[in-house]
Amino acid sequence: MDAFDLIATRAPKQARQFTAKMLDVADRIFALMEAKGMAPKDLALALNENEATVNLWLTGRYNLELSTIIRLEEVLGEDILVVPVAA
Amino acid sequence: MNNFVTIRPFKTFKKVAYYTFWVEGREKSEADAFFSKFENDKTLATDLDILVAWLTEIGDRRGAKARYFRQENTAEALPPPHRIMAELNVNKCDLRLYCIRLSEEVVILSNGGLKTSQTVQDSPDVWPKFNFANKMAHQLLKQLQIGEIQLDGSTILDLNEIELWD
Repeated sequence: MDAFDLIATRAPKQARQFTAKMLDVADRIFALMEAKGMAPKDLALALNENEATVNLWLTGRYNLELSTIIRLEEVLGEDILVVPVAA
Repeated sequence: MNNFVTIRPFKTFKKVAYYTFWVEGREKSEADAFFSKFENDKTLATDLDILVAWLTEIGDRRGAKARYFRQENTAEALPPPHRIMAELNVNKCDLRLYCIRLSEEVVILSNGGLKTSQTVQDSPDVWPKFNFANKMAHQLLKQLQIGEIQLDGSTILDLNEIELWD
C-alpha cells in the first residue's frame, strides 16, 4: 500500500462527504446554467457578482452559504438543494 | 533537470486514470514523492485527506472536468477546497499538487509542495515543482496536438520514455 492508499484509508468519512456534496452543488448549478444557456458571465451579471466568483463556485471547491444557494435558486428558477421533510 | 521521464499509471478509477511522472534516477514517482513527503505531517493531515478524497470522488464519479481544476500557467493545480478548510478549523491551505489534465479521463499527477509566500516564485518548496509541471505540460500538450502522444479513452498509448525538450 503506497502513501496515497494509506491516506485514502485513514481519511474521515466527513472529508469524503463534504467533498462529494460540494461537487454535487457545483454540478447542479452548472447543469441548470447549461439548461438555460447561461454562461458564467450571465449568472454573474444576474447576481451582481463578478465572473471569477461564479467560476470559483463551479469548481466545487467553494463552500457556498445557504443564502447564496437561495439567490442562485431564484435566478436559475430551480431547486439546488432539496431537503426531505418529515411527514 | 534530468532529461528522461516516463509516464506510468498511478491510480485508476472508473472515470479517471491518474498517471504520474517517473524522472530518470529518482527513487519514487513524482506523485508518490508528494504523498510520501506529507503523509505523516500532522499539520497537513486534513489537507491531504481532502485532497485524496477529491481525487477519488472526481475519479470515481465525475470525470476530470476542466472547471474543477485551478489553472497554473500551462499546468493545473489541485489545492484542497479553500473554504472547506475554514469549516474544518484549518485557516488556510497552501498545499499545491500540480497536475496535467489531458482529457476528462486522463490526468497526470506531478509533484507539489507548500506555497509559503504570495507568489509561487518566492516559495522555494513549490517553485521547482511548478516549473517542472509546466515544462511537462507544455511539452505533452504539444506532443498530443501533433500526434506524438495519443489517448484511447483513459489510456495513454505507447508509454515510451520522453526526452525533455530544451
